[in-house]
Amino acid sequence: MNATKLLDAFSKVDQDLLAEADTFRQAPRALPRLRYALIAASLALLIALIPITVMIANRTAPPPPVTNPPVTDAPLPNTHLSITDIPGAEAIDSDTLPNHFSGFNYHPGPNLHPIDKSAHQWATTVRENYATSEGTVENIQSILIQDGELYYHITQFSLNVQTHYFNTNGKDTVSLINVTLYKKNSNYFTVQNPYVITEGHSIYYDMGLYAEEYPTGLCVYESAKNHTVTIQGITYDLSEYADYYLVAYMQRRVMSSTNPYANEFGFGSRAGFFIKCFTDTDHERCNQRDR
Amino acid sequence: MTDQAILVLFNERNEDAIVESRKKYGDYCYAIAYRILQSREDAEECLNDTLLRAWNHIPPDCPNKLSAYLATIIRRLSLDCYRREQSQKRKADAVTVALHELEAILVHPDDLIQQIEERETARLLNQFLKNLPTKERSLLILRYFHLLTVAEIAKRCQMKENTVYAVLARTLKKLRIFLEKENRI
Repeated sequence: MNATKLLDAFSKVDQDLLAEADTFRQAPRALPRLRYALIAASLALLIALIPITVMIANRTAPPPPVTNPPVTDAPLPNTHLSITDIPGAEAIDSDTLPNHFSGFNYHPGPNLHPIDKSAHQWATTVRENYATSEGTVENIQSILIQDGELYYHITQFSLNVQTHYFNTNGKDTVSLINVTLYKKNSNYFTVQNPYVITEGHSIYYDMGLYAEEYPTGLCVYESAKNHTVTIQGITYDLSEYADYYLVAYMQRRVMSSTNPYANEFGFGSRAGFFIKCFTDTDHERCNQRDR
Repeated sequence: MTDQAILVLFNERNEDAIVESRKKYGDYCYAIAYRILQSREDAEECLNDTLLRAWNHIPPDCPNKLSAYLATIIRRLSLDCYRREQSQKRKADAVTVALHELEAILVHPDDLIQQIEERETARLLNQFLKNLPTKERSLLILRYFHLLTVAEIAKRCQMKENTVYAVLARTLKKLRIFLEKENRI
């Protein structure tokens, strides 16, 4: 066959196909919309810069006091108890957790009360719009436990994020995130306190990337509604492993000079700890107090 | 006037069918011919021949898409005209022209084989096209049936020229692989 014959063969193309080609028009390109989105994102970024600048400037100032939930009339035996100091506290055995929860990576600081094996780090990978990030929580520097309730007093918190998107890989550590302590009750997990880090709370630029706070909605959905969390493709019933768990969630946008389209994709990482610290007796004590 | 109404005129042997066809699809068909022939006179002649051929073939032909039907006819006629002229330019001596004229009335066994091959090629091409996504198929037809330039296709389909180039290159590669599998090349 030569080109002439092939060209001739086009004369015998099915007429329906010809009619289709006659009316073919490319669907409107998404590019204009992406441009608008980019402009909107840029404006939002500019607006966000103002408080960020103030925040960075204020970082040297003393941290605002952490707002804990109101403490009841019972005197606090110790504002800096470790879990193991609480009578009846049950330290969870890491062997009872699935392997995926291993990798305990707690780094105690000089003034810390280690939570030891009662907390177990977990991390999830979120895949969204061609971008993947994987994060782990590290560097919780203090813990505050008050009379049957558990609070974290977090002075520093970081989430290491490994990003994979298109042809570029970047590694970047982002500090701050929205941290939420969840408490399990008989039926569901509740969001006890959106516990936003105060000291060390920052959003900063690095490698042309920026991070932004993001509500913990996804976590609430996964845990409170479904009572489960999916880690590495396996879904676990949280109630089997924890009374509390701490969740950090972050969403970021990628600004990459090598791939302008990466601007369009936000993706997030979540990481947290499972905490198993109270026996049923302790729960009952808490319930009585609450009543 | 709708295609159906024009076809009714053809079927009734009403010569207004020619007038209405020319009114509705004259420019469309003329453009196809002109792209091949690059000559106003020749394109106009092919358009007339096309309408005449349609008149002679409808009925019994009953095309679903009158535009596509006329486009197919005028493309063939234009390509024939183009080759005839090229041939005459190359071989302008009286003998060759005489032979060419005589060949036109003879059916040689080789011609039969050639006709069968052409039919088979057309069948394969249609099969290939039908399995393509709409975009690739349409761009290929616009380029190699209508012989539009890449710039014209891009403007018409509201695409970037580079995109059209890329899609066409990709589709031609697929076509080559397909024809290889079918032992046509």
